[in-house]
Amino acid sequence: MTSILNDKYIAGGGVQGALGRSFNSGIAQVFGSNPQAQLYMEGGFVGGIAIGQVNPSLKPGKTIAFFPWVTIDPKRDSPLIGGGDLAAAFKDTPDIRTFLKYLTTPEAGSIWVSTGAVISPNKQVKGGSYPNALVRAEAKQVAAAKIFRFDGSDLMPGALGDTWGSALQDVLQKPSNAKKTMAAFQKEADKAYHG
Amino acid sequence: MSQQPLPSPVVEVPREPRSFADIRASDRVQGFLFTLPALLVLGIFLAYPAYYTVRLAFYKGDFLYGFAGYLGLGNFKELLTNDPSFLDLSHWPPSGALINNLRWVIFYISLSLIFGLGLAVLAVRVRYERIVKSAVFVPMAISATAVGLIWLFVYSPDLNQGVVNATIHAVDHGFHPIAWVGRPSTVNYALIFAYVWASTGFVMVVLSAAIKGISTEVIEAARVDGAGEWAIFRRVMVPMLSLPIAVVTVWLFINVIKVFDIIYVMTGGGPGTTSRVIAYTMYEETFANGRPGYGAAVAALMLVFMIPVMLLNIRRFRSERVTN
Repeated sequence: MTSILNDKYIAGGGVQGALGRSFNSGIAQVFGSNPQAQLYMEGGFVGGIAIGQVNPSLKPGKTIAFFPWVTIDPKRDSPLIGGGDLAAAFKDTPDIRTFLKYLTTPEAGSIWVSTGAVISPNKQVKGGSYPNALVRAEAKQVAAAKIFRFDGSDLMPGALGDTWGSALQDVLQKPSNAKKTMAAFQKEADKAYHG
Repeated sequence: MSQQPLPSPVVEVPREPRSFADIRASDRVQGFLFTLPALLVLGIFLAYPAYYTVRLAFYKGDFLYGFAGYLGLGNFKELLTNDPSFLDLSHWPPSGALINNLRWVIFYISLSLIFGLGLAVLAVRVRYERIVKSAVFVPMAISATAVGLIWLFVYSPDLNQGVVNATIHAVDHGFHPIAWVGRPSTVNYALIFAYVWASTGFVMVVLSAAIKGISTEVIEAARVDGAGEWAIFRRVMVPMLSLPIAVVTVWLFINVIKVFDIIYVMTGGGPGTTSRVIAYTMYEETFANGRPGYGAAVAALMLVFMIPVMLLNIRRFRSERVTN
C-alpha cells in the first residue's frame, strides 16, 4: 500500500500534507473547486459528502465518478468490503415486529436510499429511488459483487477505532515500522475486547 | 466652685469584626441569606459537578455517566503508566498529551508575555499607538474556531494558500513546502504560535494600561540618574508591572491548561495523537471513545494542576485587601 501512498503520489505536500489535512479538505483535493489531485481512495459514502458538503456544483457521472479498486490477485477477484446498519428492538410487541418487517421492504428501502448516503441491501429497491447516478452505480456494484466482506471496523469497542486511525497514520509516516505499529495495535485490541 | 471636668463623650467606634465569632448572630443569618443565591448557583453548577466528576474518575462509568464498575485508582494508573497518548516516558524526549501541555505552558505563556509586553512598551512611544493596539487586539474578538481555520490556511503546504511556506519559498526557491500541522515535530509549535497570536492582544492591553499607571516622575527620575532606556525597562518598568504581569500569567496559565478548541479545529489531536493535550484527551475519551470514567480521571488530573495556581491567586487577592 505504501508503494503508492508516499510523497511521490500524494498531492499537496506529500505524506505530511495529508496528515495535516482534515477529512473534508482531503475530499476537496480531488472534488473541490480548485482540485490538486486526481484520485482519492475512499468508501462510497464519500460521494454523498463530496456532493452534499464539499462541492454542491459536482455533477454525478460527469465531474465525479468512481471505479472499483484494481484486482491485486486474480485468484481472489475484486472483493467488495462494506459496512452495514442494523435495526434492533428492545421490546417485543406485535407492533414493533410489524415495523421492523416494514423496514426490510423495498418501500422502506427506497425512502432510506433517497438520502443519497446509503445503498439498500434489498435488490428490489428500484434504481430510480436513488437520488443520483453515483449511488445507483454503487448499488449495482454491490448487487453484482462475487465476493462481499462485511467490514466491522465501525463496531470496534471504545477507543479502539481511534487507536486504529492513529496506527494507520503511523504506518503512513514510517512504513518500515508497520509491523511494530500493528503489534502495538493488536495489544490494544486484546485489551479492548477482553479487558 | 470648682467645676468637675465634663466626662468626654464616649464615641463608640464600631470595631472591625476580627473573626466569625465576633459577628452578631442576626448579622450572621442576614449575611448567610444574602450569599444564599450565589451559594446555590455555585453549588449546583460548580461544586456538585466537580464532586461528581472526581467520584466518576474512580469508576469505569456507563453510557449514562453512572457510577458503574468501581476501579479505585485504576483509571489514574492506566492513564499515567499505560497510555502512550497521554504520557510516554519510554523514549527521549518523552511524549504524550501531558508533555504537550507542558510545552504549551512554557512556550505559550512566555511568548504571549514577551510579545504582549514588548508591544505594550513600544506602542506607548509612537503616535499611531491606537492603530497598532487595535490591530493586535482584533484576534481577541475572533472565536478560536475561526482562528484555527485562518491558521490552517497560513500553514498550508500549498504555495497558493500558505503564507508561511510561500514567504520562505519567495526567499529560497529551492525550499520544499512544509506541512506545519502534518508533521509531528512541528505541529505543537504551530498550534502554540497560532494561539499566541490570538492572546497577545489581551496581554498587551492589560500591560499597556498598567504602564500608563506608572507616574512619569519615576521614569524621569531614573533618566536624570543616568539610566538608559533598557535599564529603565528592566529595573523600573518590569518591577512596577510585576503585579499585572502576575495576573496576566495566571490568566494565561488557566487558558493553557484548558486549551481545546483550536486543537479540535486544526488537527483533531493529530497526526496520530501527537498534538493532544489534557483537555483534548478528556473530550476524546469521554465523548468519542465512550469512556466516561477514564475521561473523568483526566478531568480530575486537570483540576489537580489548576488548584495550586488558584490558591496562589486567592492568596494574592487576600494580601491585596490587607494593604489597601
